[in-house]
Amino acid sequence: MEESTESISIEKAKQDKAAFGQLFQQYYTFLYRYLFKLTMNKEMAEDLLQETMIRAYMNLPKFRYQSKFSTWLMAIATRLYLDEQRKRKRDSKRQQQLTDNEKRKMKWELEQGNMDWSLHMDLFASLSIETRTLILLRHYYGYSLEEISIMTKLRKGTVKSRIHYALKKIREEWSDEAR
Amino acid sequence: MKQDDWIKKMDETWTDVDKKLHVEVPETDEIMQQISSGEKKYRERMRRELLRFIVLACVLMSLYILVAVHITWAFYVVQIISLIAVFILLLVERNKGRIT
Repeated sequence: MEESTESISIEKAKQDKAAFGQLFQQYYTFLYRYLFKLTMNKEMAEDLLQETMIRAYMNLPKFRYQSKFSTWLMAIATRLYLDEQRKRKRDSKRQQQLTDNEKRKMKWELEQGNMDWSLHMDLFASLSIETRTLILLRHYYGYSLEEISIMTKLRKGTVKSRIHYALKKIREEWSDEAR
Repeated sequence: MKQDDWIKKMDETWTDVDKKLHVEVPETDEIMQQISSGEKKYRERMRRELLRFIVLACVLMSLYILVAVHITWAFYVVQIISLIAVFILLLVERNKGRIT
């Protein structure tokens, strides 16, 4: 969407719920795809998308064009997801079990949609939720470290080191598997 | 940004997932309906959180006062500290959008 057209739509959406609905519709697929990659779970992606939509609507008057609208939406979705996972993390045993269950569910869901569960997916899924989020934002969506730092509310140095060590670990495992 | 073999393969996998993933975009009416019900729930949740916060603040303040009445000079100090704390916390809550 062109920037000026987009800002007109955003200004309209700030005052009118229907206009917000139309605006959000344009980003629906983009956001769903992002959340699916992040959660690797359709139900969770849908729930988060709905929560993101509500948060976005409530906070839209605070949107000051400091980033793209899509980036702003992604930041809301990312924080919601990470906060949710941090709450769950309190019980580490439960967390481990959930991860295994989620992995099985992810495989099943991908197979249902004619998508392959590749070795890359397996390696990606073995990472912690936070690291997965950082790698996805940095290497698939191409965000800068500063942008990711703002989106995830983590320090720039933390973002950089987590991505570095996770990629190092993955590269080692990937080269072992490739041999 | 360094693009190695693993990242390239992973990106290809995600692009493939994006292509195959079926997304049903809801109608504007449905979105509006979801917003309306979600907005109500969100405001209710925020109200509950604010109520919990006020109750906690009152309990803490009562405790402070209870302690302070037994130590005369501490009464005024504790009163001022409590008022400042409540004022700061209300500002924080306002910043979070929980109160207007």
